[in-house]
Amino acid sequence: MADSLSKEESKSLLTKIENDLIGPIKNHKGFLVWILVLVSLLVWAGVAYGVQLSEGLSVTAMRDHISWGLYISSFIFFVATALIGMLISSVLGLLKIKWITPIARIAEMIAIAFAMWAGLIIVFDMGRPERLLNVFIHARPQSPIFWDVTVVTTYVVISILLYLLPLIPDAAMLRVRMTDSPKWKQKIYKILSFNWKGTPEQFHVIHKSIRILAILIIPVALAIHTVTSWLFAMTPRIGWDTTIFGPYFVTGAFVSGVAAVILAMFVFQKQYNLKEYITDFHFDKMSKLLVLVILVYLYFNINEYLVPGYKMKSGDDIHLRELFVGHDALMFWAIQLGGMIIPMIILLFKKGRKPMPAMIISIFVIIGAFFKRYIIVVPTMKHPHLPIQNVPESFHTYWPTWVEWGITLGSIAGALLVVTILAKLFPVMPVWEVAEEKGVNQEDLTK
Amino acid sequence: MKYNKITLLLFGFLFIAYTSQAQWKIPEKAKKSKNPHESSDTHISSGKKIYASNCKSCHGDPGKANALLPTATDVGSADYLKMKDGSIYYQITEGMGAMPSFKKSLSDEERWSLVSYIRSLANKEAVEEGGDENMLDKLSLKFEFDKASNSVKASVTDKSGSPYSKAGVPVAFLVKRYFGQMKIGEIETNESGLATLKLVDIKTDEKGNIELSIKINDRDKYGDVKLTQEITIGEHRHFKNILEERALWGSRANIPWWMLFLYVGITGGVWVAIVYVILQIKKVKKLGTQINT
Repeated sequence: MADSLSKEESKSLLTKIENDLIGPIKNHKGFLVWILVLVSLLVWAGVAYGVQLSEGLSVTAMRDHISWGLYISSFIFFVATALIGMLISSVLGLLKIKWITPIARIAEMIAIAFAMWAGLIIVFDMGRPERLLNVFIHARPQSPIFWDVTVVTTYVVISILLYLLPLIPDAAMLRVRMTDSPKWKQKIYKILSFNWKGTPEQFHVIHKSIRILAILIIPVALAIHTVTSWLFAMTPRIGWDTTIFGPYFVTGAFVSGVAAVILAMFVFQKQYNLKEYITDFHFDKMSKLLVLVILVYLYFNINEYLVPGYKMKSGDDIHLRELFVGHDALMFWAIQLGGMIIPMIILLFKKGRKPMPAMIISIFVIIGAFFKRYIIVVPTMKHPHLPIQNVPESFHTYWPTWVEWGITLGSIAGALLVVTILAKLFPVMPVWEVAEEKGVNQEDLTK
Repeated sequence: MKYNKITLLLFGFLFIAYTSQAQWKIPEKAKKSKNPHESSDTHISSGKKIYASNCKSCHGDPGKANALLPTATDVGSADYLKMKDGSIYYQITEGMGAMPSFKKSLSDEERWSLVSYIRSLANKEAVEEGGDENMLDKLSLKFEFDKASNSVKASVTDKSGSPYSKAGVPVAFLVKRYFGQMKIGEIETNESGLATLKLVDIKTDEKGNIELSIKINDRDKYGDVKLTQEITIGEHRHFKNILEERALWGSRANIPWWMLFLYVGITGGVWVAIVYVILQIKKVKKLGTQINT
């Protein structure tokens, strides 16, 4: 393909791609409003956290029985969403699937932002965050919580590297093109370009490094969510004491991650005017991927609920009845139907895979995925191991307080802010890879 | 419905009991019968046990007027103790109204032991009334362990150190355990002020020690008289502390080897690769610099 373009065509195409991708970074239309929304959510979360710090965790609805609530649910949701970076840029990348090139970096941005905030949410859940260091000083590698700390940190680092490596050539290009931007921005571009000259040797090193990371991130990503599931499955508690929790969580993670990427694709396509790069074809492909991951997740759901539901062991039965027909039934079925089955059916039709419907469906899937974590964490804690009598009424029920909602929404806003800032500093697609894809000559890229 | 019937029955019972209270008709012959058993200590103490399991639930503690059934007489009261042995025996044997007959459930000897016990209360009361002094905070305790008989001998003395000769001071023996003090026995003192408890199957710490507390178990009368001391009653023992093993539940220092190798191996392997990639970025920079020069 590269040969079919003449020298002039190749050059002008590269310039056009550069303009298309760099343009939105300079365009601030609507940007301030968006930032204002995010920052005000963060301020609200800051106020809520201030209240929580001064009053203690009693301002949350968490009590002795239900001691993991919205924070831990959000933590799992964040970790889950972060997993998409691995699926898109690594699994599909290693399979040499070409259409992922324009969306790989979007997936990676989501991965970094959500994995970072996942770690922060754990801190929000702590009653005495000033003793955070003790978690590391007195760490016991026997504890799944410590494995989780290890693997989340590792995943964040690999995700950042996977974001940075393909960025090096872009940073070099931005350094040349963005001479009118503020000094601090130019400094960032200079640092991140690492003396990039586009020599074949440099390309070789970059390609090799990306490949190493792409392979490395697969087990690490599987580990991050398997270990997160082990925080639950390693305890003998009804509802968590199951052997399929690892794959159940991992497949669930792909559902929320793919939906998040579809939503981000839609926003960037409209806001950054990238119709030529993120096309209906991409939405179609990603929607099909969403159908696939929902089907796999559905399979694990059937195993997770049908198998114990058929046996109805004593103990299990209380928990399952609460989910199927009891107190949590409305949320449970709303998630299973509205967050998985109905979206999947709509996506089976070609019209359902157009950008707009796919985006709306993704929102439903994301909301469903969020509350799915809630339904995994909270209801099982309502039934203590022992028959305990005469405890306060507040121990039996849980619904998050404004403090918890505030901090959680603030965390989501925070993650989106990280994505926004990254998308304002750097192109949302790797320019050189897109150019290569579109058939720009290799020698043009190396200049 | 079931409960209603029970309630009805209970009230009926109480009514009968109340109306028939003053109607004990004891034949003259029965009144005259004498206790065929000698009123020995063992006889009295077996009577005391029988009282605790058969009578106390209605009559309460003798002399304390705390009968649980309102119509039940306080058998320790001075009024009651005016009765003759034969009358008491007759009442226990035949029963009346709410008071059941114990003819079939207790043997003849057991019933007489009850009489002996109740009678002993009269003597005791007489003694107590005789020495009607305030005993609050007047006594002190000491004890010694006798290895040969494996028993603890507690002695109650007055403040000057001479034995308290009035018998019947309740001495409780307690051993410290994880969550408080376990009562291992309660003995009343004899005339020499001594109460001896044989230690049976008391677990010690590694050095063979226990922390023994003894106290006079009647605070209202004697005040807070207590003594705690560590004594050696056994041999050195060695406990296997499962917290010192290499195990999942152990401290960090006691992590199982396999887990340590897995953790360090996996994490180390991944981070070696990460550091390698970071070094590659340096290499990119170096390659760029070479072109400049």
